[in-house]
Amino acid sequence: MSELLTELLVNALTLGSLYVLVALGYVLVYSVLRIFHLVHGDVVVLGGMLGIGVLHLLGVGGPRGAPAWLALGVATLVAGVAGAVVSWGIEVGVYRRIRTRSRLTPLLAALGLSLVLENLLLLATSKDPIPFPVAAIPQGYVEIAGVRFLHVSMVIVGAAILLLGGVAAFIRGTRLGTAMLAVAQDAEAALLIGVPVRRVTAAGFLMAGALAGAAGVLFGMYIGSLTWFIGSGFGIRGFSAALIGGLSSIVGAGLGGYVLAVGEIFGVGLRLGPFQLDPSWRDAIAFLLVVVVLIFRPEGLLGGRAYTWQVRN
Amino acid sequence: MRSHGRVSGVVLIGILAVLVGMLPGPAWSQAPTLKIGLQGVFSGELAAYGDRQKGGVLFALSKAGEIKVGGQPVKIELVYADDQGSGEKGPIAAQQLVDARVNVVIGPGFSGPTASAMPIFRQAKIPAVSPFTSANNLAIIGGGWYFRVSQRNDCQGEVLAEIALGLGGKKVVIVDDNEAYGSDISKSVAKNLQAAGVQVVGQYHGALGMTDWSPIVQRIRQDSPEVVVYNGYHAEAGRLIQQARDRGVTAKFLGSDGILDPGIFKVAPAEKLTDVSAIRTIPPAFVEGTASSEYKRFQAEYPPFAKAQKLSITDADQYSAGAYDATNLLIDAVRRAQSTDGQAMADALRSTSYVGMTGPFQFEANGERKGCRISYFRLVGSEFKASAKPGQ
Amino acid sequence: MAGPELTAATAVTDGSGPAVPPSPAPRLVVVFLIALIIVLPCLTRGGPFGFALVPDRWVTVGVLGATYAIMALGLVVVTGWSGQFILGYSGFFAIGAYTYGLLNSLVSERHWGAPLSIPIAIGLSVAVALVLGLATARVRGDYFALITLAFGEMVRISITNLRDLTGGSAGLLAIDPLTLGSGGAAPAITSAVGRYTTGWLAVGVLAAWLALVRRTPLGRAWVAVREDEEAARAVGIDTARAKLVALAVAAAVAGLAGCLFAASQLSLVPSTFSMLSSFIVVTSLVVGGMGSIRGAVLGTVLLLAIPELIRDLAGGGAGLLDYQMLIYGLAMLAVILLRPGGLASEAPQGFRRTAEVVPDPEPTRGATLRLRGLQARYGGVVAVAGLDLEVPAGQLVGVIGPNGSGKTTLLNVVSGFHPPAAGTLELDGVVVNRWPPERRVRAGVARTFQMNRLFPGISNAENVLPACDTVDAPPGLRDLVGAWGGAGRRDVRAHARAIACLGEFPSRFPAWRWTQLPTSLSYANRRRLETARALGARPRLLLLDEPTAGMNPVDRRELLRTVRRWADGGTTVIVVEHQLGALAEVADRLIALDHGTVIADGPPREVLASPQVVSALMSMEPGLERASAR
Repeated sequence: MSELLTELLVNALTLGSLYVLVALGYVLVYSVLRIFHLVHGDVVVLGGMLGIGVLHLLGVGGPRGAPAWLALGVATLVAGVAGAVVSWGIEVGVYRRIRTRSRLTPLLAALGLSLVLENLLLLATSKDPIPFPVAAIPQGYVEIAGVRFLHVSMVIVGAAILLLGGVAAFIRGTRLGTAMLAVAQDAEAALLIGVPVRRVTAAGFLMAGALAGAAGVLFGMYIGSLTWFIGSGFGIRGFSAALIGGLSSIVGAGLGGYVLAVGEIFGVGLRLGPFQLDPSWRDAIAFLLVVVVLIFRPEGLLGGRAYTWQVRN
Repeated sequence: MRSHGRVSGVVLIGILAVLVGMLPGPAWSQAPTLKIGLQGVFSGELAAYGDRQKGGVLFALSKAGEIKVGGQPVKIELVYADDQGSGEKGPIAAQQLVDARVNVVIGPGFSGPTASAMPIFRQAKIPAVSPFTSANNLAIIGGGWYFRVSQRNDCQGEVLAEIALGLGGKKVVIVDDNEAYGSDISKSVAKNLQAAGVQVVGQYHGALGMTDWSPIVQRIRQDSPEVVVYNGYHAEAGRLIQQARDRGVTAKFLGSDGILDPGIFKVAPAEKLTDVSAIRTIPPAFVEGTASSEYKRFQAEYPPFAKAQKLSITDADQYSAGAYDATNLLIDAVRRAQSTDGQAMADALRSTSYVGMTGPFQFEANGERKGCRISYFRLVGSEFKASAKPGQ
Repeated sequence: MAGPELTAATAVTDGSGPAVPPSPAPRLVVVFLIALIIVLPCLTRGGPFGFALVPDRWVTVGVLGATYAIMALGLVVVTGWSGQFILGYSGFFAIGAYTYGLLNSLVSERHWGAPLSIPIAIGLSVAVALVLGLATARVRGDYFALITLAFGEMVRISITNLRDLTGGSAGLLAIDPLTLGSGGAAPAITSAVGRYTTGWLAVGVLAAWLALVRRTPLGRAWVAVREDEEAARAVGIDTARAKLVALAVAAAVAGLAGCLFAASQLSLVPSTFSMLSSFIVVTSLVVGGMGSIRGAVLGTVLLLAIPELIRDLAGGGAGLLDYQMLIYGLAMLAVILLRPGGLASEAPQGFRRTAEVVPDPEPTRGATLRLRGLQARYGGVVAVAGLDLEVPAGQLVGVIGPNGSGKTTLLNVVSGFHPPAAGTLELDGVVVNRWPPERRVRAGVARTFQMNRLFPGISNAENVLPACDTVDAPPGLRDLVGAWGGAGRRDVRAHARAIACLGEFPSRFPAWRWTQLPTSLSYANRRRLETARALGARPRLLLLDEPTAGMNPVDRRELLRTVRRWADGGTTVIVVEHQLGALAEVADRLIALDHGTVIADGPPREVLASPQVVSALMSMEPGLERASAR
């Protein structure tokens, strides 16, 4: 029994870390602009694919290629910059120009953008998966209670926790971070006390995009390849994680990611007597979790307490 | 009032003229035409299948020589209709072909649109010869107007069960991608395995495009089968096998047709894909080198032909072979029926005994092709090697 | 139960004045569209005349178009009119389609026939919608949208995984076409033209029905909910119920569309009912115009016809179709950025000008209010602390106090917008602590808001109507059926009453202002409009929160004198005001609050002279000494 539990935990930890990496971006964008940035998953894939391109350019694994760690670093950097630029471009080009007051219009715009971005990726690359250079993927594993914890997974988990901590520390510790908190609570008030709201918003998107790019390289490394359409799947999962944890909380993104993964993995992995759910129900479980949280605690597990009495805007 | 009458008179004459103009013209006695409709996927990510369909048909036509009906040479016309592989667009593409008054259809390429298009072809009395659809229940919908050239999924199920047994499977796990094709085969494999007394310890379903297979790998480790049968396509299979091997699964992997595609190496490195084999719905004669000279000629001449046609896929694979055979089967039927009428062709098809490149053709009453012709391949290094089926 | 005595309102239809806000799709386009739809099958080979001008394929496309148009109409009701964004609409579509399919196919060996299956499919869809709606009653709009997204996906996943029932990914096959009876040998509509006609006939009937429903109190209630849910509750609309009914109607419509889809496709696969298909229907609505019936149909036709036209141009097989999804995404973005209202904005509802006079013989019996130990808090902050208050019928009470003293909170508690933490609230002797705002409105409590809360997207007269509806023509399920019956006595009375309310501010709201949007009014007029709206529900207790804020002294006095007139007619009025001089002139009694407690209560002169009051207010109110000296 303990081998089963260990395996489920290892899987949940890894999957959860993947979700966290994406969820961070949603929280950042929601704090500065209060919208559901549902195109974020595709930005992740974009960054990852660019990263793969860089790795090939640097000849990783080849005879005269750069050492893997250096190449990965450069790839992540490039991916991060690309993600930041695209993300910021979306804010300036689309979100900023939306004039209606409804909160759903940006959501529809994001979905439209997702369609556009995915199809552009398809046209730019190919319908087939783009392989991540094997030489840049750490092989090897550590065995715990009969279960293999892959080195790659450890990198993912480590990166997620590091980034989570880093972003949280940034928000709490720096002036820009505090400005973001102010804008997150009340953009109009922040404007009135002199916070450069436009610049803070831009910074939020740049950060989210940079994170997306880095996450993309990590995704590519873990999955072993990237395909043009997988962005929306991870996007929705990451968004669900952010909703569960609380869209206004960075740490919430972290918690949400792991809660979602645990629910998903344990939901289809645990055995109750003879009864065990088929793995094809994992998506339904993930959605159910989100629905339950949204009904009973819409602000998320770690979100601020919402008044039952609505204040207009 | 007089001008009123004049105006209305002119208008009336004008309307009559237009109406007369719209009447269908008299039928000239012209050379018989065989209009072949090609319904398939000609756009999007699956367009390669449409290219194979097109290539096979064009190649067959180029080699067919003259076809005579009633002493007169038949003019052949091709009409294309894109259904994007989707069941929703099936009827629309089918209607396009019916509008164009095709006599017969080669296609549709995919099972989904075939299911939704067949009622339209049935009503229009147009036989459809399907080069590579595989869903099990299409004949029911076809109502006698559907003829299958390819192998249906039950065939694969039978053979996969046999091979799994031959690979030493006493406990077998079946995995698929929860799609129509994969789950159809899985059902058949399970049935055949159980009939042979093998224990099917688990049947699991993933999803198309899924990247994290850890729950299923966990189940496989839990069940510890000797053989895992995967039914679906290469991208998912590759990911599953890599993740399974990474986590210490030692079972043998056996896949349906669709696994052994060079694209599998884009998803997983060859060194992880160990102990992997799969079947292909190609007649063993093709791979054993005992195929007819017709096939040897096909292998030699098709690729350059396809390249000249600017098709994206130029391999002489089972899809283009299927389309090639479908076309020739059709031409044979036309020759025997001596007519391009739909009903006559359907009757001729039903009673055919044509021997095609993929083997002899004989149809059941419902249009299913008799017999299964399946080859077995092993993945060795980064190559697919044809092999004898284990346990035989 | 009568409200304040209104001055005789003989509404004269004037007809003059500035034009109406931006117009919907021009009549010509609509007529052209209808003509096209009717003529299309006649031009095909399968049609009644046998011409072959237009390929038969367009009839099949037309059937699909009718299906999607029906769905778009459903979305107009739930999203366009009642403001609830549904992103998982395909879920109801799937339920309708699969129910029909399971009841009418060779594979499932049932042939129950369309007349029996369609109501069952619709019923199931509505039942699911009710469960969903009730479970999510308290969820905020954008989160609700996400829940519906999850719902749609869960339906699809369930259909895929319950493969023994539904055939799974392989699909449900061999579905019967539209049969007119049950059993295998029933007559059926099998031709494409037949389905086309049935489909578009359904669209026509549905569109006509919905257009009529829009003009009923229920339709007006939906729009009020969309515009401002809180304000809608403040005029007596049971918003939760209204939203639920809208959702149920939308689900029913989608269920119907599903049946039509199943009966024309003759096979179903779960991948059809993906998030993408929901998105496409939403896109048609966004492109066509959210609140507009014609827009919905127009948008659907455009979005369906264009890829098919491209198919024709590209000659049946080429790569332009690769870009179809790309085009949808770009279309959505283009509309959002360039023309957010869509191609056809909502048709302005003509206001039924009636010459009817409001019969109002009974004098008002004002409500009595009694608060005992009332306490209200915001988290840890106590806004109102242990208040005891009795207001007899017909009194005009002014509530004054510095900012943050709890005045607005007091109004919020009395009107039901904030729950009391302790104590009781009695209206005419009945304890109403737990009554939601809309119920209190029906009992005669009406209020205005400190920050103007009008319904910005509908005309001025329509702003007042929902309040009048509450009393004269309460919105309800019968409006769905009664729509065919036309106006009805009640509706006319509601309209007459609305005119009368506007007439309380003579010369401010002439007839030509009735169909204008509130944004065209001056600030003072907007305050008046909101006050007139409060009047619409025939209140016996009127709560006014700073009704004269921002007005000049002349307008202020005028408004307060009008309020005085109402109080004289019997209505109990509580007015929160900062302008003490004007208030003192009209109020019977003043209550001064500070930090949530009453520090003075009595005739205005006394209260204003009290040193405690002066010191509490002094930092806020210049001119106080002048007022108290009068």
